[in-house]
Amino acid sequence: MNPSTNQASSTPRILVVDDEAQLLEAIAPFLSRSGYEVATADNGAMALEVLKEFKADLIVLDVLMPGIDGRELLRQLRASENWTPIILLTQVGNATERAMALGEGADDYLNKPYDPHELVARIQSVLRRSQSGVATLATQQELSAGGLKFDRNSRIATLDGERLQLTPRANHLLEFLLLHPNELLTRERILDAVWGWRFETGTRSVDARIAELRKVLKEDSSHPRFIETIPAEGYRFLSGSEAE
Amino acid sequence: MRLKYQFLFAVLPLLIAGVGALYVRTSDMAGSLVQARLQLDLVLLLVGALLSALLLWQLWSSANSGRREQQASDNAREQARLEHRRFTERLDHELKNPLTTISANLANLRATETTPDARSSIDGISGQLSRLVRLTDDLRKLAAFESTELAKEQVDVAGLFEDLQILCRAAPVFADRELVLVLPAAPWPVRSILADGDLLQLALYNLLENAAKYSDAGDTIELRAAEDADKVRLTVADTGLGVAKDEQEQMFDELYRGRDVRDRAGSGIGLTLVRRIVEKHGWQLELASEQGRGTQITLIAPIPARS
Repeated sequence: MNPSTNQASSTPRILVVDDEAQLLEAIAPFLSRSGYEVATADNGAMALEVLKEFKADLIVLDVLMPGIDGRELLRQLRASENWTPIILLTQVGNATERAMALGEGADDYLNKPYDPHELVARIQSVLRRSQSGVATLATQQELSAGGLKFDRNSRIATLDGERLQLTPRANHLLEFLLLHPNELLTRERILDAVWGWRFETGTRSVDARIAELRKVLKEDSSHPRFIETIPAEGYRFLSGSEAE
Repeated sequence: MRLKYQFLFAVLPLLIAGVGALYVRTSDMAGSLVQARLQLDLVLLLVGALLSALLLWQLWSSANSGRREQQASDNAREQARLEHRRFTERLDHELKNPLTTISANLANLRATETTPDARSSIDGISGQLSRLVRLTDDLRKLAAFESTELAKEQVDVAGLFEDLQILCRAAPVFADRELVLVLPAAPWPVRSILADGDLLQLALYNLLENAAKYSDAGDTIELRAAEDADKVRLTVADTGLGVAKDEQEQMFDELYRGRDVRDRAGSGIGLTLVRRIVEKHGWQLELASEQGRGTQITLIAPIPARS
């Protein structure tokens, strides 16, 4: 639908793929009003068609669709070296499913029902960290920042060559931080990603795991090398890339 | 134990017959009728053996059918639980597309409709929409919790209580409630518990929050720890409204709201989560409540016996 040929524009282009026609009709004008050029497709095959004409900067992809579903479409795109950032709308906050989505090369995910403002916030942050045409962090096997390295297959983290002893949740948290460098991460967002659900005492659980990470990373609280606290908002992971 | 006595009872006829046969064989009372004596003790033994066999068979088949019935009812319960879970997952799934669509349409309306009347209608719809979204969030929480793997560690009870106190102090619902922590330190501090620390904290916080919600200004809420030989008991007790006898069983069910407390804000999954967390750890839950006096709920977690 409405594939555009206006290549010169600096307006980011978003393709929304969802089998709910009425949802597309409502979300497309919202995204246009938020400053994006929008195309829509109501199934995977059509999305592939649209993408031939419409050079999307980001794809918002529902998982559950008849025919080529979101996950399959994601696989096909990545297999053909298409690294367009993808926000996957997953069905449940199931930890395995989310890990799978990130492993398959989705850049972020969002649960339905989502607030359209939340979707725009996610689009902004994914666009900010992605450079079109370059493989995104989400598809890399080894993540690193400064002297910190994280192997995503073995899930082993090392700091200056020394292996870090982490609880399973701190391990997942570290991976998530490395995947989202220099980004403001609210405690709620961290909960969604690492714990898989938000619960009342969750913000305190996040703080406790951050404290654990800071301890093993030997952070100096006044001059953090990796994890910065943003008062009243959350945390920011410093990749150290500016220094390199 | 009972089965052992039943077994002894079942072999009793054989024993009696054996003793009888021996007696017949050794005694002189039958005089010269050697042939008859021989048959008598054989008959006695045979009757005793038959009786015992009959009793044993009865015992075995009744134990077996008991086991079968138990298994059948376990299966039925598990089946019902699965069905129920599948239903809530389907419900959640069927709700989320319409809710997302309504939410996007509302956001569009908010951008274009500026008259005060339209604004107030939009606000009204938004308010109710968030209630529905919260409901699906709650259902999803339960589903997400099911697939959560426990991240077990040794949880220090003193640290846990300290965290809970901080959490309670920050929550408005605890205003004007007196929170008392009881944490024995003698003869030794309460031993640590092997648990998913985040979930244990959540379970206790939900109990504390519940105690605060269903009590009034001036009421007392106690958080207590106690160590037995092989278990730690963590108790939340309050001098609040209490729960009627006939509601005590349902109060841990999803979305259940007490008859007399529907006016008080609550989601109806707090206690359900507590029960699921307890079940997932293999712990026990104990409830004592009296209407008008208060409620006490205890989590019982096993610890290695002190040597």
